[in-house]
Amino acid sequence: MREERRTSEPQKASQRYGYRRLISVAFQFALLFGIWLIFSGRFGLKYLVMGLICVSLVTFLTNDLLYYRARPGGKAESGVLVEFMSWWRLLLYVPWLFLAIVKANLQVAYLVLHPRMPIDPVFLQFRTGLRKRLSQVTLANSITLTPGTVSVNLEEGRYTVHALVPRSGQDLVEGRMQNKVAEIFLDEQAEPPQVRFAHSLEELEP
Amino acid sequence: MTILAAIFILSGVFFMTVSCLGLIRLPDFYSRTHAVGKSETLGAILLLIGLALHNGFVLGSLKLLIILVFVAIANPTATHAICRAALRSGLQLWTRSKPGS
Repeated sequence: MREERRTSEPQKASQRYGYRRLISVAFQFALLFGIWLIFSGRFGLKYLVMGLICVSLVTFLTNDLLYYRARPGGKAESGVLVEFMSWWRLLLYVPWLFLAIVKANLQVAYLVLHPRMPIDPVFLQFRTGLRKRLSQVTLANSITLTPGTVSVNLEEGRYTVHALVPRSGQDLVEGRMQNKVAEIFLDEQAEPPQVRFAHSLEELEP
Repeated sequence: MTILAAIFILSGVFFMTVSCLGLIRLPDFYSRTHAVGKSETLGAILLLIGLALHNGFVLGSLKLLIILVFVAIANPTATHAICRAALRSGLQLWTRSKPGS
């Protein structure tokens, strides 16, 4: 009897997977239903039931897109709690990002309103030392929102960035932003990346 | 409160104007994404904050704040998607200095 009760390693792993999946479904459901309540602003039974039906349908259709499962053979995936913690850490990142956004906009405003428009666009390419998907995506998003740079492409940790003026890539060359992201998402601190400047598509690495 | 709201709304309008000017003045597609992707995001955020302040503490303000979060996430994402499509279809970028000089 006892022998049968004892679960084998793969079974345990799949149980853990199911448990995490359940939490992610519950989390998404609660989030969507909260948004429904705020947007509808009505609390009659009819509206609540309609909300429940819609939210269930959306959760059913989209949950497997939101729940990322590590590839087999990859590193052990982090537990749901760790993932949530890094989502909360996102809040720490927001004030810093907001300041950077304001600076970026003042710079764009200056460049656009300047009579001669002193711009010299260039492509930048570099590889990041960041390992986690969430931190890589966050870095790309921050590049877009900070002074003078828009991230164009991200493949396997290699970024292609368009900059209005070459010196706006300074933050990237010194690796400051990368370290900020690494610090917040508990990712590896890496060397400042090697940045390539390209003035045409032909100079880009394929 | 009204004055604070007015300040937010006016600065939002300023950044929206800059964004439109940039769309007209900047020379090529990639530089225009800077104007649209950045100035418009901040402009929309400031406008929505201003409107929420003007509205006071009601459910409507909460809705505005949720729209704000959505804009802040969706705008850079869309900018990136368009930019990437342009790169993959081989659009050349405008440069001031000739390559190699």
